[in-house]
Amino acid sequence: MILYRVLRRTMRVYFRARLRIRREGEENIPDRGPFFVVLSHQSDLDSLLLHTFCPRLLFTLAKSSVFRTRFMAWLAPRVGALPTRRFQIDPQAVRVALRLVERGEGVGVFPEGERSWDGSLQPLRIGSIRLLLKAGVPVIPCGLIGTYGVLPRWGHMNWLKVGVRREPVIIRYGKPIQFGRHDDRARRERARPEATVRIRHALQAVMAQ
Amino acid sequence: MPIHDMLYRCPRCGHDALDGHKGRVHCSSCGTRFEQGRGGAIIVRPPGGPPAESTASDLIARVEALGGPGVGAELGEKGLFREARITFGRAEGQDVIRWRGEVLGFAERISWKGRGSIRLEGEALTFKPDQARVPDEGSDQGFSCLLGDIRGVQISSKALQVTLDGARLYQFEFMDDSPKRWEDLLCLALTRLYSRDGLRIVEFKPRIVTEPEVRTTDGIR
Repeated sequence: MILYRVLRRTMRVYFRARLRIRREGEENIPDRGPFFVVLSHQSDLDSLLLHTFCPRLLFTLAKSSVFRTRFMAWLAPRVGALPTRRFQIDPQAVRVALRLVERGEGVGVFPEGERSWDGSLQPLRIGSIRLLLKAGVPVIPCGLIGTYGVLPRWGHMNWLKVGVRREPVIIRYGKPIQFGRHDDRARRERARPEATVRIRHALQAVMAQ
Repeated sequence: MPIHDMLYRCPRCGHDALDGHKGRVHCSSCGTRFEQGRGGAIIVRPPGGPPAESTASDLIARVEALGGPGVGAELGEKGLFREARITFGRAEGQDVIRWRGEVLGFAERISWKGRGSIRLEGEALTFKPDQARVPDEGSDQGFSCLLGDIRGVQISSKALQVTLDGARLYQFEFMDDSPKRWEDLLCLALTRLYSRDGLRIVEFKPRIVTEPEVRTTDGIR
């Protein structure tokens, strides 16, 4: 993860010059041990900011099309991106995420599965909730407030505008949610509706201005 | 993705298809301009009037109210109709993504084939390449399928991905239309189709998931 650490430092310098970053609730990220970070997907900046500023190194599930070029297929895994096929159920992505949390790593998940068009929280994907229930490790909600305003899905951003009139972005972590481990499929399905509501509420809370 | 992919219909007058690029669009019918403002706002500049600030959610709701993805009169009982020019590709195999000797996952390999057209008509979706190859070459022959054969619909970057039975993935980039409109259009057509069988679609991606519709006294839930 040397490249990840080097890029993290570089990106911190850049993002501090480009955005007015405020970080809250970092004490909720455990110093050691496995965890999931769940966050609402508002902008292309989300995963960059999460990987750059999260107190722990993270692996994040990313759409497989990110890995399509040779360069990205080489780079993305070295900065913690895990490929997920979005046009079919992807058991390999689930296996790898579970293997990583078993090793005590942190994994980032965008439970909506895609960026929002209007900045609102979209329905949470069934597969994401199943993954969180199966792992049974702490789930930390994270809100990235302001990224939609800087780079919405339908818009563009001036990457070179640094220093003046920096837009504020808050990276806020909420209290960990404990679901317990749901190995049994039937138990997981019974717990899913309530878990969906809890995660949704937690995301709304951390995203509140 | 440019703003006119989201605002594929003028939110002010309902005129279909706006001109523009990147952060700006213009309606050739009523003359209103829409452009990206600060903080995710959209500035609406009506001709001769003062500019006003709006949000994407308000404007998307207006687009829906003025006809959404369908085409006015053709949005009738016979079903939806639309046709568009596209460049198309198909997933042909997958690349294995490894790190430190471990298989992390797979990335679909999309091979770009060429140009063609796609048409939604009632309950049929037809894709036709401009130059169909001989039958035994298979993959870029196009297809005609019923909506019920579609297993998933989603946007990936600027393209629309449609998964058919047998995990066949087609990717379409629109030459003069919005991928979001086509996603909305197919989702609307699929919602109508499944609703007829008393089913509600819970997810469109990565695959269509349905549950029985609950009919209440004040409507369907």
